[in-house]
Amino acid sequence: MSSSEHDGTGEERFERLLLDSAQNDELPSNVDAAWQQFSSALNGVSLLAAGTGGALAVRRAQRWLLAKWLLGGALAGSALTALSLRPSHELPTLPIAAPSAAMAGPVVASSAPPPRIELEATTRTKATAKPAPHFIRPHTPRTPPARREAAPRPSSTLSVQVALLDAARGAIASGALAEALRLAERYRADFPNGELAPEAEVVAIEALVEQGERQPALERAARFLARYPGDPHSARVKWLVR
Amino acid sequence: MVSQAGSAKNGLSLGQAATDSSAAAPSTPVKALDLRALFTTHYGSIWRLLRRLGVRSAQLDDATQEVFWVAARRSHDVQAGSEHSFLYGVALRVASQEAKKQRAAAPLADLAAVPAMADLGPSPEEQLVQRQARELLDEVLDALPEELRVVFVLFELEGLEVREIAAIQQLPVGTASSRLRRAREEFSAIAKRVRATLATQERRRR
Repeated sequence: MSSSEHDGTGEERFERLLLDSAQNDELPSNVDAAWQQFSSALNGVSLLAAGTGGALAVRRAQRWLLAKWLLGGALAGSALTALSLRPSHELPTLPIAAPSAAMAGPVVASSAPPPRIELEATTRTKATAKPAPHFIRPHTPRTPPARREAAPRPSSTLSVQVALLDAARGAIASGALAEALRLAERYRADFPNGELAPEAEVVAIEALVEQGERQPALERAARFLARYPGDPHSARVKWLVR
Repeated sequence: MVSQAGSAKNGLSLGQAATDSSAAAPSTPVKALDLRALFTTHYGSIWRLLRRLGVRSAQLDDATQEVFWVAARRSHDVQAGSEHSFLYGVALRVASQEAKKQRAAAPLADLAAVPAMADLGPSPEEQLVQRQARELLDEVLDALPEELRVVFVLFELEGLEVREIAAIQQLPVGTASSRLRRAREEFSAIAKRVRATLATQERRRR
């Protein structure tokens, strides 16, 4: 990395650019349709809930709402139509097997109003607007693959790195320390120069500490501090092995 | 569309015939909540907030409706004048639940199959301007731990003050403030590395 590329100004501009990119975030345009859906569901609540009270009725009605959407879609095809209009940029671009028609069921159930269509018309990065890695929710494809855009996958491995890191953090949170370590190691193997390498290393150190592996944790902490001086995680790393 | 006036007695004004809704009103609210006005006024901003908090597009509409379901259920908790804060608070919880589901649904199977960061434009900056800054922003935000992402998004993208953020999250101001500082540091560090990667790849292509 040449130093000229990394002057503070360039980095600050880059950061600004990232943040400013959210200024043009679209709002859903068809709020009325969303309201129609919502209010008819609530009206459904009132019919169902006569004689029962309170939150229970609403919860019950939520299930009813789900069923209503599902049935409505299946019978009238309206939800399916809406589904077909849905922009394909939202699809996880799966290299793996196509979803079956049967899998579209739950999708219809959660089928929602037109805001997305508007989104499609105005989104600048159609096929790439959805950074979700392809392996997220492979069981909930939104449309059959035929409707997918042929556009290439998003540009970066960052989303993949994020998913790995997320999984590692989740493993720590749920006490699956060995799994967290395994994932952190996998990160290190798959992305030796990954942008989230320090984050993954922090997870590994934390997992070691939690496991009571103090010596290895100390060694890795020392390596971390030497390798990433001034990193925002330094304080945390020091704290972990304090 | 029928007038909303009639159903306000339930504290839940639907804007549609809701004469039977007395039993459905989640509880007896202190004051009537015009749910329709609440919905139409805030739907868009809550939808966008959820997106910024990392809710995937496919879940956005449902998640947004969920926020208003909660508002309907808890209409008695919604204070006049602080509807937005209330909805923000609910949205944070909904986003957090979504994040858990998303994590749980990620089997981490085909990591190797993903192409390298490539095919970017002439220079990192230009390329980003054209197409990918927003996408990258999401990815960098995704990389932040959830509690940092929330304060960062609320502050940097939603324009809230630390005091408001603390109130919404029911945190001491000091805590919100230190989270924001950490979030900025982490965001900055990750953005730097991402930029370095882009620059390296650009050079390799030349």
